[in-house]
Amino acid sequence: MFSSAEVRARLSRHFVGLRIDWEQGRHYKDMLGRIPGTGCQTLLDLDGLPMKEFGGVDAFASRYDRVLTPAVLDEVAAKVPAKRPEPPLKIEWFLWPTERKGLWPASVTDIATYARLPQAWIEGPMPGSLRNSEFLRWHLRQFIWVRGSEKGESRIIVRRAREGMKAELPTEIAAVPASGSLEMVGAALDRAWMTYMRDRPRTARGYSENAHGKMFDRIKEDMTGDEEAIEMRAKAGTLLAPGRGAGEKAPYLK
Amino acid sequence: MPQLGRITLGIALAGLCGSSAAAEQEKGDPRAVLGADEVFWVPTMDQAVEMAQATGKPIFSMGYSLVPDGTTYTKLGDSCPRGVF
Repeated sequence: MFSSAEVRARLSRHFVGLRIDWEQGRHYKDMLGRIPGTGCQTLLDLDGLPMKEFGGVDAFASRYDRVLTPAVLDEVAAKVPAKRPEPPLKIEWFLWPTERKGLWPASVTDIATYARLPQAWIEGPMPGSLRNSEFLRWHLRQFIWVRGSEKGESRIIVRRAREGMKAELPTEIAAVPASGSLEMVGAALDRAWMTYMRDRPRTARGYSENAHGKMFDRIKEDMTGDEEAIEMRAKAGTLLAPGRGAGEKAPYLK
Repeated sequence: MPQLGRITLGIALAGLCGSSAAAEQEKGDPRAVLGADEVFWVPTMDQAVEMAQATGKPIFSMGYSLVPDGTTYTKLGDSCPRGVF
């Protein structure tokens, strides 16, 4: 998560995000030129090739004081303008692969633990709501999406990874029937997300609390302050879901 | 850094560049969202390229690592997932 709102806003509007771990980096090593480094950031063109004019692989890394700025992102967005009107989102772009070759790609549990997000398992026939681009834009970023069994009732099962969770909490948070209206399905997903967020694991600070993590010293208070604010707002039911403004209504309900 | 298993290490190194989201939301910045990451993250390079070509949007990639417990990234308490910074 980027703590700069100016960076976050530009990345969400103008870029496709790709978290790339060492195993995925190794899988695409020939394409990228080398395996990207931890915490390093790279801008890639529409073919997935590093943009050399913007520094190539690992061009930006805050811990090395190569900070990605809004100005750089504006320059890239101007050079590679997004299509207008914006094409509809597809759920297939976001489904976490469950077929693995060795350690690649990372498991659903791993990414859900890393991102500290609940998992949304799609079971039965693909729900119509997940073919609605506005619905996806509103709800995609709340979950790690996974295609479960295509048999049985069409529904979305929301689960949490056990790592860091209180032992008494159930793994399954909700089973949302997909046959309901967009409003009903959306409200159920929001409730499930908020349930997860109320007890979301804290970030482990083993890294930031030792000598290797000294680069975090100047943002430690922000990190812990944000975590406490998140928990407090989730428990109050006022926490905003990703990309939403206060009081904003779901576009698919307008 | 090799991926050695299922234990995850989240590196929010990028978070070094800016002020806190909490403070921004307190100030009423409508873009500030707590507890959530607004970026549309896709799982793999293949999916990223597919979305990039469909939308015309370039790709922003962020490196992270999955490391085992017992390293410098080890959790500090039961309320924390192992390895996640």
